[in-house]
Amino acid sequence: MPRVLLIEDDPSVREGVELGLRRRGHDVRAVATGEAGLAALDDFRPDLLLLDLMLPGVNGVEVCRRVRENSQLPIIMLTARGDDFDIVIGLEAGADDYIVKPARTQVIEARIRAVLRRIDEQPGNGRPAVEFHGELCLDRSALTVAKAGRRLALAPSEMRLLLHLSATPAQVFSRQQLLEQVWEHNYHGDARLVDACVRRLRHKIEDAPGNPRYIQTLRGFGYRFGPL
Amino acid sequence: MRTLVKGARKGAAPGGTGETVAAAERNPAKGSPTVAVAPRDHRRRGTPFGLRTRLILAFLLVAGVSAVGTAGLTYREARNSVLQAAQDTAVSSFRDQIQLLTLTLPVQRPVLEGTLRDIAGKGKPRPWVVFAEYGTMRVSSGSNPVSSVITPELRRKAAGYPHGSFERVIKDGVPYLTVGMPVVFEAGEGAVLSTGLVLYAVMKMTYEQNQVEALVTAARNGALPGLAIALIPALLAARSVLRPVRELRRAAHRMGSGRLDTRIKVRGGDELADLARTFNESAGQLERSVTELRQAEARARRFASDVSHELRTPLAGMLAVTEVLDEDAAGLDPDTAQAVRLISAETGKLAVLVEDLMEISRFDAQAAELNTDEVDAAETIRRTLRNRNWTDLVHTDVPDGIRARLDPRRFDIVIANLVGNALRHGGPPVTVRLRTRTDRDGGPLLVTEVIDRGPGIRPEVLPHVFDRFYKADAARTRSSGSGLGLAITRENVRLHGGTVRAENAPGGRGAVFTVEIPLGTGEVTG
Amino acid sequence: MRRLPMAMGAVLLSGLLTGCGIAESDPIEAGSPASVKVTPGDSVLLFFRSSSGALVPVARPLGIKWKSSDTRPEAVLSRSVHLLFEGLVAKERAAGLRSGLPQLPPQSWVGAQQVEYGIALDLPIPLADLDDTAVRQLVCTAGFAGGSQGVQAVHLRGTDGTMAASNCDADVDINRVAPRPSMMSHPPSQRPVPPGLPLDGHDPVDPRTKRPDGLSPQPTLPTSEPR
Repeated sequence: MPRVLLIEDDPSVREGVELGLRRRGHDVRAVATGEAGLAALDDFRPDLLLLDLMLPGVNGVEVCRRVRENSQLPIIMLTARGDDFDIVIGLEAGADDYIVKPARTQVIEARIRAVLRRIDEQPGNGRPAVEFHGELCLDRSALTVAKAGRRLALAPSEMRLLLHLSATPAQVFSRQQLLEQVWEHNYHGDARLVDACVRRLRHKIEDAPGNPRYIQTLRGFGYRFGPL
Repeated sequence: MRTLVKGARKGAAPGGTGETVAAAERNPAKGSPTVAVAPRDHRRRGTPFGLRTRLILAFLLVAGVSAVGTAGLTYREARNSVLQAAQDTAVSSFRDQIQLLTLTLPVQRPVLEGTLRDIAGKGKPRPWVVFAEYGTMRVSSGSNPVSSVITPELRRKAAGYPHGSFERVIKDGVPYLTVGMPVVFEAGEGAVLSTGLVLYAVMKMTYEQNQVEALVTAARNGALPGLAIALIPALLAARSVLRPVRELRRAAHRMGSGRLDTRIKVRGGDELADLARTFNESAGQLERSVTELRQAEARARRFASDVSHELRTPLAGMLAVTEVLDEDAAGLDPDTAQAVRLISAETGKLAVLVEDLMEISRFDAQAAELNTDEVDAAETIRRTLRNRNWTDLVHTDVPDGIRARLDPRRFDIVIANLVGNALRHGGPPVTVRLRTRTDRDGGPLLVTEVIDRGPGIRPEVLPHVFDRFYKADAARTRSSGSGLGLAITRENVRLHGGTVRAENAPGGRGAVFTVEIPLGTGEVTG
Repeated sequence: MRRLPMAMGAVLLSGLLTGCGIAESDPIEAGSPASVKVTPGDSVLLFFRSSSGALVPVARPLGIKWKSSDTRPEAVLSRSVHLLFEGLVAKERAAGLRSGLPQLPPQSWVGAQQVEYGIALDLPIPLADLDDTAVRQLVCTAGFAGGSQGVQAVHLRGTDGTMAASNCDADVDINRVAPRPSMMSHPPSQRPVPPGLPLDGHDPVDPRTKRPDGLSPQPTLPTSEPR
């Protein structure tokens, strides 16, 4: 079962989530501050980070940014829905998904599974493992992307999105479809999740983020990969 | 697409959130100002009788009247004195010249001729032509023995009770002065008898005429430039009044558009300055009041938001462990198990309630965001039903191909709420119908109907179904809902710029909830 | 409403402007007439008439002879009136004057007497022969004769009666001459003439009554100058 690092400053929430997840079989470390969380990264080596946005001291967005500087660790934000502005910033900072408090452990777990499934999934079967699209080189089995020979560091959501889109080039996916298929949000989710991820992805793989070649927008319909 | 509707930002009048949200109903995309700007003042182009024109006319009138009056009166006096001088001089010098004579009676013609020529040459202010009438004798110092200028009236006057008289006659445009002087003599002491001789002097008054005309010209030449010059103070006065007035109008306009910090510069100490000062004071007071109200509103919002937020934090912890409680309840003794299950269940309901409260308070604070996406409406509805496993319970009449700009999350909540209510409180069969129609103004509408064939809604309840915490049956036990479901539905629909209404189905069996949302421009395909 | 003051102004302006220039006038009185001296100073004033019927005074220069005859006022009066009846001289006729008096019957004479209120002229002709202007001529001539002021009332007595007294109105407006005096029923009383006083060629005699001394009148009339 995946190891989860929980950074949450409110004690009751921390206890409750930790308890719920532990009952589900996860190995959970719960800390109260961003600094403690960053320190615990090397020490605990979690598979996933559950990160509260509103933290004293180093806030959640900052933690997210720092983690992303040198790691592709899956990050799920914990947020109260009123903090819309911060959700955007958190997503821009590199979070893969977010959960709105209060949430049942069942929901939290489902989200964790969905995020981690990106890493575990092996599409394989019949498709060549390595694909070349323009200057991009995608290795589906190794789950790596290289641009012009240089390896790109993509967050899990970004990687999964890219793989999903490039699996069927030129096919248009609506944001709702992507939310369902890539993020596995059952109920109508927040399209900003997709938009933020696309923005991050473009920033990394496009030559000119303002004029995207690989991830193209079709206004009113959604996104597609190419055509190049 | 993100649309922010924050009525407060547009300088909303503190008339309550209802009005601002009402405005938002219709124009979520535009974020129209909530305070109506006055219609463009149709008099701005400058009316025929605006202030400037009136002032100029008044000035010109005063200048004109005074100039003309003064010039006219002066001219008249001058003219009269010119004439009088000439006339008096002529008459008295004529008389004096005659009185130097010594006559024989009867008067002899040759003597008379010489005498007349003599007198004529000595005429004052300038030489005359002298005529004499004695009986039938007509003599003159000029070429004609009779003058054409001497009128019968003058003759009559001269022939009557003897006294001198004069008359002005205009012949061929030339003014003449005619003087009639009867000649008398003293016969014995005190008795004055007429000699029967009447002398007339005729004098051209061309010189006086020229003088008078010069006066007229001078008067006119003085009056007209005066009128022209009067324009300058008129314009200055108009400007000095109009500028503050225009400033005031502009300031009022700005105030009306919501910029409550508008102030006018106070210049001078007259009534306009008073007006400007009063305006500034009133504007200051208004700004203060509005600021206070806005701050109070913001505080209230923050409080509501803080309260809900604070509620969520303990709930988050509680909710996370309800499953643990449920799982282990079976292993406890029956009372504890029941207690634990109770706590678990109520915690869940509390979480839903708090969520709904948060949602409603966001609407109240006009902090609700609409995150629209262009979706296929039918597909959205089908997905909603699928996610809740209602596909088999609900009939759908939803044609594909109707694309609409919706916030999918919110629309999902709306459909889920209405269908859930229909399933819970209405009766089968529950139908969801989707279609389009054009509204009164020609805009396309997306119409979604949720129809059930249950007992319908009681007439006294019908107007209140969308009220908050309104339960149709007070005696009914608490349902799973928070009492805010339909209120939230209405707010979500309003956010889309649409309307939702409830009515009983025609035919008496069941209820119909109709949601109408504008499709936006040119978005209907299929 | 706003146009009213503008209209007023225009009217004012036009009114004043059209009152410009020199306008005609009616004949206006302007003081006293011209007064001249008449020569010779010792002439006698006879009142003839113009062709239009207005009284025109004539200053007839008289010789020494005329002057030095009977200087009694009555005699001078009588002689003046006789001169009047004799008519115009050439100069006067050339000036367009007319006599307007009937001829005296031959050998008749004019008597003049001082009476109660003025002068009485005894004319040897019926008064009906005199027109109004002639009456005035006689009244004025008698009134101014002999250097008197002309303010004396003059009775005319003719063969057909006596006229009421009147004054000379030659200095009065021609349009306001007095009407012809009416005939009187009772002649005024006469001042008795001292009897026995001889005249030089002329006796003041009432042709209707005879002198108590029975002398008959002698119609000798002095003339001023050759005709």
